[in-house]
This record gives sequence, C-alpha cells and structure tokens, in this order.
Amino acid sequence: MTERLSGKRAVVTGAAQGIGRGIAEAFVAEGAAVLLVDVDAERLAATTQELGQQGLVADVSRKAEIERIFAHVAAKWGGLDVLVNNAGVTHAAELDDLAEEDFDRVFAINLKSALWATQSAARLMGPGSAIVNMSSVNAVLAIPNQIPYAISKGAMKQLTNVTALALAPKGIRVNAIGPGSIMTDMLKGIMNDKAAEHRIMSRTPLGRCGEVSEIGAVAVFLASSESSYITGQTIYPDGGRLGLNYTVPVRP
Amino acid sequence: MNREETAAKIAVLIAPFNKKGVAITDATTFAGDLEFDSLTVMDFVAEIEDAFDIIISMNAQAEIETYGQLVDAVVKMQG
Repeated sequence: MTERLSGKRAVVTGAAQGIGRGIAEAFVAEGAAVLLVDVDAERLAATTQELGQQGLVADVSRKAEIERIFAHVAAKWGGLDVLVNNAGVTHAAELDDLAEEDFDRVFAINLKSALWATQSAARLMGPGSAIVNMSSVNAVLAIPNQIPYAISKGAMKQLTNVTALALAPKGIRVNAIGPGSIMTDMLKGIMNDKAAEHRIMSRTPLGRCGEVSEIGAVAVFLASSESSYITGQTIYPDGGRLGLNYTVPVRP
Repeated sequence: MNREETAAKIAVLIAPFNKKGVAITDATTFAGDLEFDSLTVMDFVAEIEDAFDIIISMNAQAEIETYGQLVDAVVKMQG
C-alpha cells in the first residue's frame, strides 16, 4: 500500500505517551516525518528514540513556548503539513471544590494551546495542509467531577469549527477526533476490575474498548488527502456510545 | 521512606479523590471500590508522581489495581 503521508512534515503535541504517541506512530508508519512535542522530557526521549523521530520539550500551556516550537519547525523544515493538537490534561474535582487555578491550568493546556498552535502552524502551512484536534466524547457527554475537562473539550468542538472556517480560504482543513474509551495502558488497569469493566461496557454498544491504533487510523485519514472535502468536523470513534440512551446488555 | 511513611503520605493524597468516604484497606480497588474512571486515575497518578518525584509508567499503572499494590509500587520506585 502506498504511504498516505509520504513526504509530510507533522507536529504532534503530547506525543510522549498514550493517544498522542499512537498518532505519531501511525504517521511514521505512513511515511511522515514527525516532530514529537511533550512537556515530559524523560518519556519524550524514550518515545522519540523508539520511533526514530525528533522531539522537542515544551510546555504548550504558554504561548511563548508555542512560538518557540514553530520557530524551530520553520528553521528545521521551512514549512509544515500537519499539526495534531493532542496535549491534554484532566482535573478531578467536585463543583464545590473546584479552584480557579486548576480551571485555568486545564484550559491553558487543553484549549488555549490548540488555538495558538493553530495560529502559528497555519503561518507555515500551504493548501492541502491539515490540523487535527483531540476532542473527546466528553465534548457532548460529561462526568460530573471533570468540569474543566468537559468544558474544554466542548469548546474544542467550536475551536475546530471556527478555525476551519478561518483557514478554509488558505486551503487548510481543521477537524477533530473525539474518542470514547480507548484501551491505553491506563485503562487496562481499570478494565482488570470486573465491576468497572461492566460499567464501561454497558455504555459501549460495540462491546469493547477502542485501541490506540484505531484513533491513529482516524488521525491519518484526517491528515491525508483522503479526507480532502472534510473540514470543521468532529469525528467520534466511540464504539457507538454517543448515540446510546440508557445502557446495552454486557456480553460475557 | 518506608512502607508505613509512604502509606501515610498516600492516604493524605487520596482523601480528596475518595468522595464517598470508602474505608480504604490494602485490598481496596481503585476502579471498583473507589469508582475511579480513567480520567480520575490520570489526576491521581499525577498527584502521586509530583508528591514522590517519581514517574509511574503506564505499563506499571496497568498492573496496579488495589491500594496496597500502589503503596508497594511507590515504595519500590523510591528505591
């Protein structure tokens, strides 16, 4: 099969582990050169070595750091074809306990970073380029103690829409992925617990968790010319969860 | 830090996450008894990592199901 991202230059934020790493792996497999960005220097070094790509340690919650990333990209590649705004954090707190600094921190990392990275990246991009944002099923569903996270992911849906419109005249597409329960190693720990697995599966019509590679596949599609007429959309690889009212029977 | 001191420090860190006031023993499970979802696990792990200045790899997290296993893992990671 022809490599679908052959010759493409891509930046993936939050790429040291989890879904970001999975997307970087999928891009490399499709022939892209990937600059992996992460705040965690130790994990980033290990991942870049395994993937044979370059890394850059940066804290995307600060606009100056984002400008540093894309100055590096401009010097290194002289242009950019794909940006994946994946970096994200959560903060568990009940409404009554939620503190302003925690809300601001989650918003800076999950939402503001995507806006400023889009602004900086678009200046380096030409027609046919693509931006992929990470949203979540929590853009439209919610968990009561994940308040800033759910709001940031809901806002990501509109960030995707509005930046898609703003960049359409330049021929740059912007879309988002909103995963459901994905089998990262973290979730494996939870799924070892039968009661917890039952709770999750009762809300998952396809009867299993998604794999990281299944998010990577959507990211490759949205980054490649295969999705050339799609922009401003959020695609939900969620095993059918969003459409489901109540629960489904859990398969043994 | 020995196991007792480590357990005491973790007990303080877990309190804000134990919303239902579950009585925690070494056999308490995060997902089942404490009803942690994957996002809450992320937050809790970040707290532990910051407090002990360690990194708990996701592979290691996948092995940890109970409170006792977490305390043992943190004791071991402190070397």
